Amino acid sequence: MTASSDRRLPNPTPRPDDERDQLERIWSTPKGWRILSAVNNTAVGVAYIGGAFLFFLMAGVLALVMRTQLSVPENQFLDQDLYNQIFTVHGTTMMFLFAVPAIEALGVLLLPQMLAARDLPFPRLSAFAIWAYMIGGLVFFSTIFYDLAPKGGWFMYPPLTLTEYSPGHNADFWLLGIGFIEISAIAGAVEIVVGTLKTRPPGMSLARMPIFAWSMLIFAGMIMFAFPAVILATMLLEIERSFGWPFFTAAKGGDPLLWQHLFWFFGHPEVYIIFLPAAGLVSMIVPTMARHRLVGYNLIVVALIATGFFSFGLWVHHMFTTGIPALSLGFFSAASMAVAIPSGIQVFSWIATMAAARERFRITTASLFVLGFLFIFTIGGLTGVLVALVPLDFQLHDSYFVVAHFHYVLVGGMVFPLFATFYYWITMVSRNQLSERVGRWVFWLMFLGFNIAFLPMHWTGLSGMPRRIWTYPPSLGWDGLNMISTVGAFILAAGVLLFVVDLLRRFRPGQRENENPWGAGTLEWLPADVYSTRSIPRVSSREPLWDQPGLAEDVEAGHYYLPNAPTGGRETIVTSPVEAEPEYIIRMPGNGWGHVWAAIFTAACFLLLTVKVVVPALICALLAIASCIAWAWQLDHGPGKEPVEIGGGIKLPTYMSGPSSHSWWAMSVLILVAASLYVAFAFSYLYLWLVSPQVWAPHGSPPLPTPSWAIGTALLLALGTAIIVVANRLLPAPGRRDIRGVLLLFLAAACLAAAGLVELFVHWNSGLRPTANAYGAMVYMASALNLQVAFAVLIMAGFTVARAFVGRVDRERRVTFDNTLMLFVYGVAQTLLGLILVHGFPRAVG
Amino acid sequence: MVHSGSPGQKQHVTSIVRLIAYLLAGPLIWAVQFSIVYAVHTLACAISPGETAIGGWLLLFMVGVTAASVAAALAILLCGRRIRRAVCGGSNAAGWTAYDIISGFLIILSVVAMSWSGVAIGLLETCDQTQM
Amino acid sequence: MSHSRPTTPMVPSLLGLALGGCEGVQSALSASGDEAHDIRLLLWIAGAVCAATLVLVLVFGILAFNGSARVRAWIARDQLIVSGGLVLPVVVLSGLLAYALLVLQAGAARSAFAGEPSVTIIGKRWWWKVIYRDSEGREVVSANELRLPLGQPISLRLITDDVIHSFWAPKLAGKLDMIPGRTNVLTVQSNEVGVSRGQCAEYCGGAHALMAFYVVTLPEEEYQAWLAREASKALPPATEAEKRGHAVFVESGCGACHTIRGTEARGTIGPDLTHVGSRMSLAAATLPNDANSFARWITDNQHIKPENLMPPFRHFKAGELDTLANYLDSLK
Repeated sequence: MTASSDRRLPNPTPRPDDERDQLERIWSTPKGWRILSAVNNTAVGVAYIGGAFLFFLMAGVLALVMRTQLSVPENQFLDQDLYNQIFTVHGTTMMFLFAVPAIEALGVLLLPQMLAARDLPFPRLSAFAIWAYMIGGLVFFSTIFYDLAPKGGWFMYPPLTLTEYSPGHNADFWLLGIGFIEISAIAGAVEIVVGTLKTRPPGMSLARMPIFAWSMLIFAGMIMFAFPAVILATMLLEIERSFGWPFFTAAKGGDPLLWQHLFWFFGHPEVYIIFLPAAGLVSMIVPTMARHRLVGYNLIVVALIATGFFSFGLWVHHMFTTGIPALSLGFFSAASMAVAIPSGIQVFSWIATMAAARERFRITTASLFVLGFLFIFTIGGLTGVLVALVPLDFQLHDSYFVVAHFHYVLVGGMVFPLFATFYYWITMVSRNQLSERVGRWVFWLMFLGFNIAFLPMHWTGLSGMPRRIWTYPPSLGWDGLNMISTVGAFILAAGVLLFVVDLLRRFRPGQRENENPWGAGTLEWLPADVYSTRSIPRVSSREPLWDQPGLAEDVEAGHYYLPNAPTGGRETIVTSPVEAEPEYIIRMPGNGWGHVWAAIFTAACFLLLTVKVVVPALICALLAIASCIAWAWQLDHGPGKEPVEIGGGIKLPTYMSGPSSHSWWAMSVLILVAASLYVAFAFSYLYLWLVSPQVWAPHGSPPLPTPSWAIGTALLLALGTAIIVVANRLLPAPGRRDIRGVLLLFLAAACLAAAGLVELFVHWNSGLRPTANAYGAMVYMASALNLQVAFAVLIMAGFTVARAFVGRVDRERRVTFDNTLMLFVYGVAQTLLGLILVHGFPRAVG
Repeated sequence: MVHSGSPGQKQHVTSIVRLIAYLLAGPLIWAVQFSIVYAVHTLACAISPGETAIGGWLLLFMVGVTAASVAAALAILLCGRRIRRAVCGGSNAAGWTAYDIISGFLIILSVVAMSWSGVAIGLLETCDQTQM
Repeated sequence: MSHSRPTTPMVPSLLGLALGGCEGVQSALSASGDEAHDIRLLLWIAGAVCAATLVLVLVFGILAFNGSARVRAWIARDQLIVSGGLVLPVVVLSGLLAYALLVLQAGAARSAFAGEPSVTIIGKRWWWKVIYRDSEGREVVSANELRLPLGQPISLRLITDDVIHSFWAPKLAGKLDMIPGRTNVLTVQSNEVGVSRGQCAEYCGGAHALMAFYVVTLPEEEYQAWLAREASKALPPATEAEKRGHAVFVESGCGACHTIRGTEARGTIGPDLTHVGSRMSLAAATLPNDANSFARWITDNQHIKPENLMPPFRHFKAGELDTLANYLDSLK
């Protein structure tokens, strides 16, 4: 865009004085203990990142304890059982309670600022996820103090983790801990997909998005397809532990490798889920320090997408030593090679950008951490190539070489960029910057400590030291290497400690004094307050602050879009997903307690279930649902307000339903998550058949019920669909109260639930039992998953009925209705697929 | 003023879906090729381990799928812009150049990945273990 | 608790086997088997390629900082990203991938050549049951030690009856898992007479760290002689003390879990003890094999190897423990 068109500001005239006060009032963060009810992304984002960092410190202490134990052979500092608990909690906490939440926290904190949105589209959803995660995470971690911690490793392979070999609640606490990260990850994915695609500032087409937004979009996309596999896996494991459905018991037709397939289908993408956003952060910091645009922006996007995609074709490289046919190993080795290329592209892009620096690349603490990242991550990537070579992995797998490799990848690829982020973006949330002088010490201690700790481990592993051992005999050539690693670990810890001290000294919550201390080019460096930027700019390049002179002043003076709060509440602009043209004004909920209670009761319910206190757990579940309903009751406010003018002659509606609405997008994301979960289930069903066809009906299990039952169930689903078509027509005109339509919606939901129950009934009648063998377990699991969706649809339909009763559902105010309808349609599709699989497949192959 | 499923809105949804399909054309072809080859190979070797008769057909099938996928990806690469204009619309504006580059390089990477799985097919015994 | 430290066994000198220094006895870098050799070569070559790549990246990184304006402008181009980040990796990785797959294929070919497995190793919590099949098809049960004839490919059938374990003798070959419901076959060929060490590589709970074993490679004739001896029944107690020791063994109920072929002890839960005195270690390479260790193990095994499935026995009258330990030690 040329300079002349920049002059055509949407709101060129001076703004009234009281607008800023109004914005401040609307977006204000509550004081005192009421801060718990806050939902603004800057407020909860700080809590989120703080919580994640706390878990990093605590899991880091566990690492030091382990390193102390391993410093000399035959050490008696820890006993065997405690060591096994500690390494499990260390891994689980670092992966699930630190890495993923830290990334999501940065998404919550930084993404809206980079997009100049006032907040993420579902502020209470983020807050809910955060509180559930904090409570659940702290309880999970504390189990280490009462000898209740899981000790099956962070990968929890059955059969070791089945009740027979892991009695007690320890393993259940692992399942609890991961349950919370599953919730907050899915919530985060919804937020981030809708946030990046729908709340960008006008003019920021996809091709102009900051790289961090790209990486978060891919992060969210990966969560949508990776997490369902682990959600299913944890469900299966907990069901086998609690009720004895033999999914993983070989003697009954199950297979321990099913767990490994599901776990690593999640687990490998998980590594990139952590790494890609961190790489995105680096791609933001490097151009600023070089004072030059990112060289190879398009190629970096290519690298991010390719990494995200190929990472789903690698999972078997964690299973190279399980005895899978060589050619299968070859496929996964090939894909593991393919995923190395995009990392090469990124590394050379960053180097090229540094070389392109105006004058010289600036050395700040943030850039030191970026350089440290480059060095460490490159080594980790190269050793990754080594472990991807199948025969080499036969030796390296489960040895200390792998420990070295993935710490290089994860600490290098995620922790160092995170520290760079702390130094670079601290002024987003603190009045003071961190000390650059102390920062140099922090960096060098961490960098040297890290390499001293982990470089020798490559040799330790090649000398034959396996992972996860609490003691080792002397004279195998491991003693000196282990001692060096321990010393390095403490040096690394000293660096982190120094950082914490500096953070405590300098961190002062509030707005920065210097708006743009590094002279960066992206929108998060615009002048901002609790309401984010005063007005929402129109951008015409990837670095608007560099290319659009006077942007900061004009934004601050309210010359751009939406300089006020025309609806009198929290709001931001929703734009189209590709070209980012304004579509409507989203009215967002403010601070509240419903989501807080929902989080508390969800956490309580999970905890009580873990220790098998069933009745109070159910009460908490009901309270959690009630809290969700109370929270959702205030949403879907309807088209009460007239369209508002945001500047530049653009008039936008303040309510939207249908495919443009953020709610439609969120529901679509959720349905994709549910669908990938069901696909993972269908894979599991077919996989177990392949392993143990002998337990399948009709030979190994009671014959299937007659086809008429399946046809009858399908007809029930068809009936529900027909009902919902009529229901849609019967919605009242705006302003009128008529509940016939929503009652039919409820009836349709009942048909869906009835279809699920009929399935259960006919299989029970045929004599099949879920505990008999893997086939029975899978058949009942299909129904369990269908009933789960039907239950959600029923609750949503009941909620819709209640709203219709007070006149809050009509032909225009229909988001609640539409969401229920969407999930219903999905439920019908899923149940039909289940029918085909359960009734059709055994007949087809039998 | 309330929109509900107006044509303009649907267009926005389909435009992003089409753009995503265009950007991800290469990786999507890779995903299909990878899934087919891996699944069929696992299935065939599990059902009739060690049978050379099926080995020959299996090998032929895997090579065929891989070659066809590579060819499809290259075809999109060569006439990508024309296909994009047909599928996504859009002009030759700056943004679209970026999408063309992204799509093109992703196809190249996918072709590499598919060729490498072809290398595995070429170098390794088709079925060698009774276990899957 | 210092008295209960697990101790590595001394290697009995009576075997007269050259160990070649303890360091490296479990190292993938001092390969003595065919597969381990191939893998080590792959490691050196792939490692060198990776090291060269790292140096290249570092050189570019340094030039990006300190290079002259001309060099920096040359680096700061899209072409560099394409050639360094795309073309270079494709070339290098294609070579490495093909090489690695050829090594894999060579291993598979060796396995096909080796024929039916003659040794079955069963992973247990937390020890190894080893069953040899001799030329007449008889099964010879032993534990925690694998003996191999020099220079012959031997297929090992790897199974488990509880949780997942992984058999890893780094000097011989890579590891292969033992998975419930599955049978995996690993082919090894040892080309050096001597002793090496291996360990369970897949975390199997509890005493995973103390689940190791020795691999003893013998010249063909010595191997056959050893196998014949191993197949024979236990030596009957020779001295009065050994007879008393045997009586203590029987009275204490040890036979419920352990077998001593040629006696009434036929338990199968714990390791076969027919020739336990001739093995290189006790408790899966946790203790040296001598009478004193037997005594310690019997009374204090939960300290030496926590959570192992054998209960401690401490009910002995004066002298009984020593006679029992001496008897077990005599089972050569």
